Amino acid sequence: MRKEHPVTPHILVIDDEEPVRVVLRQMLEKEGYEVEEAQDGAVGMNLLHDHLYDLIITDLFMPEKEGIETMREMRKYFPQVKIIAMSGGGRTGTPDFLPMAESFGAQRTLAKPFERKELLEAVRAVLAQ
Amino acid sequence: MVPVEARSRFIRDREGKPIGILAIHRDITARKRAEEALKQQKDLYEALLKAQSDLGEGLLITDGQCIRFANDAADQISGYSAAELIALPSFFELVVPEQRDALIERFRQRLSGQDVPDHYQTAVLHKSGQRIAVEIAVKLLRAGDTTGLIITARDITERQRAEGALKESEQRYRSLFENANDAIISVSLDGTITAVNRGLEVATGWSRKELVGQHYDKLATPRTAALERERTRRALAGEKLLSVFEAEMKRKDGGVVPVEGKARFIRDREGKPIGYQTIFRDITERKRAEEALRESEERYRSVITALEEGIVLHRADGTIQACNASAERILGVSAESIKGQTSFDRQKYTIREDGSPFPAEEHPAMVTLRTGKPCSNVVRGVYKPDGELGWISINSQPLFRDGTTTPYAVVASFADITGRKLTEEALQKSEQRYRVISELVSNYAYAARIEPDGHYTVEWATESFTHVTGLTFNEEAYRPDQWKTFLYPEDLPIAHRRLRKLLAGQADVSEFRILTKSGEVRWVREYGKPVWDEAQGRVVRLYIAGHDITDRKQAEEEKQKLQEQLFQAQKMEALGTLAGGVAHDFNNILSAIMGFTELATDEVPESTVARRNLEEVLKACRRAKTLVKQILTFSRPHQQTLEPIRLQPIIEEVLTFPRASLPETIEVRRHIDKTAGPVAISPTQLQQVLTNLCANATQALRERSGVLEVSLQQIEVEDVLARTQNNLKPGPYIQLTVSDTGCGMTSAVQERIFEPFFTTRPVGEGNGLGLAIVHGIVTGYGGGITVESTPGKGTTFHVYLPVSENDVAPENILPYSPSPARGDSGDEKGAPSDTTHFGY
Repeated sequence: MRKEHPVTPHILVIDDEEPVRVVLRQMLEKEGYEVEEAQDGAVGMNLLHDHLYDLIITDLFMPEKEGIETMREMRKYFPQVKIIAMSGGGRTGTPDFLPMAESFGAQRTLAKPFERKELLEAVRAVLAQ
Repeated sequence: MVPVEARSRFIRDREGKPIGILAIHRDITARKRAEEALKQQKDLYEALLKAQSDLGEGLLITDGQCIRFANDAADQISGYSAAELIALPSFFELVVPEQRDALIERFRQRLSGQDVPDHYQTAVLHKSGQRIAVEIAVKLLRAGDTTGLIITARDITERQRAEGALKESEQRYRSLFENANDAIISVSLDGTITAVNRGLEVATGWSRKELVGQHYDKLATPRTAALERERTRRALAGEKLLSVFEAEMKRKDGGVVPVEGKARFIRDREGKPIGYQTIFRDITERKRAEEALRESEERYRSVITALEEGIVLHRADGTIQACNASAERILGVSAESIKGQTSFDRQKYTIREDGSPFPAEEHPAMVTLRTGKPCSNVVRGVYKPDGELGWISINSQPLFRDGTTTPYAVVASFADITGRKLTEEALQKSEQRYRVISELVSNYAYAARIEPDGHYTVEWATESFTHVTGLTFNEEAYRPDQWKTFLYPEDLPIAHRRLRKLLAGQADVSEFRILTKSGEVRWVREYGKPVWDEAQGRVVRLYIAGHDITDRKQAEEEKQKLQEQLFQAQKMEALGTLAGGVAHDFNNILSAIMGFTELATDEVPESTVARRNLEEVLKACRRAKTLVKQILTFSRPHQQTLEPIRLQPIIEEVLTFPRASLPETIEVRRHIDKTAGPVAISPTQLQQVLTNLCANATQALRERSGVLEVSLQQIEVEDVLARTQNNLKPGPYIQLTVSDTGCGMTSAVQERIFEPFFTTRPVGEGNGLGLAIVHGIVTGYGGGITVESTPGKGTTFHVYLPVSENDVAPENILPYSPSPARGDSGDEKGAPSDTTHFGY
């Protein structure tokens, strides 16, 4: 059964780095958002099936399932889902996929490391759409 | 009638007064008759005498000493007239004083009947005082009781003179005869020696006594004796023989003396030969000399015969007197056939080197005959009788007799150079071929002669020499240091080494740069071959063949550059890969650090130390973020498609801000061409490029005042520039120039200036990435960047970016206000929004 959260936005954070997840959670929770974590795209997808999130913040380059992949899948099944893509640059030095992320459905992109301000502003903006 | 002689005288008185005449008459009839007879006789004599006086003899008839008659000749001899002679008291007056007394005595003696000479010589004292030698004949004359003389006189002055001359001559002759060194012998027709002189005695060792009266066989060798007999016979037969002949004389001691004899007949009064006289000269020495000459001549003859060179002897009139065997061989004629000919006869067979006819008067032998001066190495073509053409090189020498200036003969010597000429011609043809070929290729060649004083003179050079170097060779001699002006200064050591090697006699191949006449620098590769002269012990000539290898060198340089660029790119890529790989994790870590720190600051009150410290941590994190971003930026090989933007506004904006941070001592100038075309580039990145460059300039100007100049213009990149500068494709580019008059940099620094992490700044100031980023951005957009710098003067960067074919999108024409971009901060405040705005 899909739950909706009418008042407090629920945000899903997908990143394979735990510290990053923790930081994001703390920052977002302080703002009053509800945060769920997933360590990779697959887990994220699963979660998505159960819940409807207001926003997904996902890293682009992860093992198991790349962020782009994840996004595509998400879009496929959940066209209305809002996504913020973030990246610290490709592992293999390949070009930054942030621009591409947009064409794959991310509303905004965030380049790591970003400051809290940036994060919060982006979240606010996307949620407002 | 009776003839009487009457004598009468006056009779005088005592006073003397004549008083009468006494006359005495004598009967003189008989006397008269005698007188008549006498007169008749006298007349007769006179007539006779007159007739005789025509014979030239002077005739005097005297009565005692008085002259009664003198003929005309007597007048002439004495100088007195007949009247004067008769008037003389005595004819002895006519005799020269010193002989008078003697003659007077003789006269008395004659009168007294003594026997005295009737004929004798004496001298007459001419009326003028001159003495006339006379020959006298005296005859006593008695007529009645008178005694007189008939004297005939003949003027013998001439005769005496002649006699004297004759005597003198005889004396001389005798003396000559006696004293001649030559041997003189007089021989009668039958061969008997009639006289010999002292010379003969000396020559033969015989004495006069032993020879005179002997037959000349005593003196002659059998051969000579036979010769003599023959000669005598023929001469007597009337043959005209040479008066000079050679013979041999036999000495008393048995030795034989070679002599030359000169004989003439001795003739009697009728002219008939009665003997002959021969003068002999000892010719031993002469014979010896002749022999030596003959030998010498033999030697010369054999030398001349043996000479390879042809020798032709011309007389003064040009005719050929003789020639040797080699001349015959070379000319293809026999000596006989050309003897007596002149160069004019032979002219039609001769030609000059260029094939035109060779006039005889210019033949060296003729020239030498005319001028008296020798000629040398005159080349002439000669057609042999068989039609073949040969070539000879002629020398001609005049021969002079002592004291003359016109030659009496000319010796022409010549060598057959046909072979050499053919070789020369073949060589010339071959050389022509090579020359043509060498002109066709870009190779050049030249030969330089090295003078003893070290000067260099180019003897010849192919045309391509001029093509390559721009120099036309002249025959000036250059000092060694003058050659330097043609060489690229940096390559002088190579040139020196090369020259040393060449001058030591070794061939050398070297590559080096030269400066052409127009100042262009070209690479050449030259092969040098020295010619060593044994005699002088040094290299006298250099043969150089070279070719212009500028293209090859340039290609090599390009290749090297490309390789470097490739290497650089590979390095960059590797770096990028590395950086990229690191960046991801690094960013994650940074995210954690920054994030947690930010969260932590919430817990810590402001104005506490802890809070401040946390702020510092955040600052540091931001810098770390920038650093990583920069690393990622320049290692990014691709750019996505962008819309073209005009650069001018961005530049303006960028320039506004640095101005504020620059010291007043720095002047900022700008030359922005408004018509420069658009470039498809991200504005942010353009900003970054310009900002970094300006930061660099600012740093360079930091210590001093100066000028920072920024200019923008559109240029067309030509092929050459494109190739050699950063691999730009030909086409329109904008050239963004940032230059400063700062401290500049050395070429070593220039080479590394775009290297990541390369910096000349002290540690802590700057990270050495600024220009690397610029380089990365610019090349990423298909552009290029160059740097020029002179230490102490300044630095100029040129950034080239391809002009976009497309027009600028309308919305991009609006002026744009970027967030302040500082130095190497690359601050991203507001950048995301901007990037989205511009489709990034």
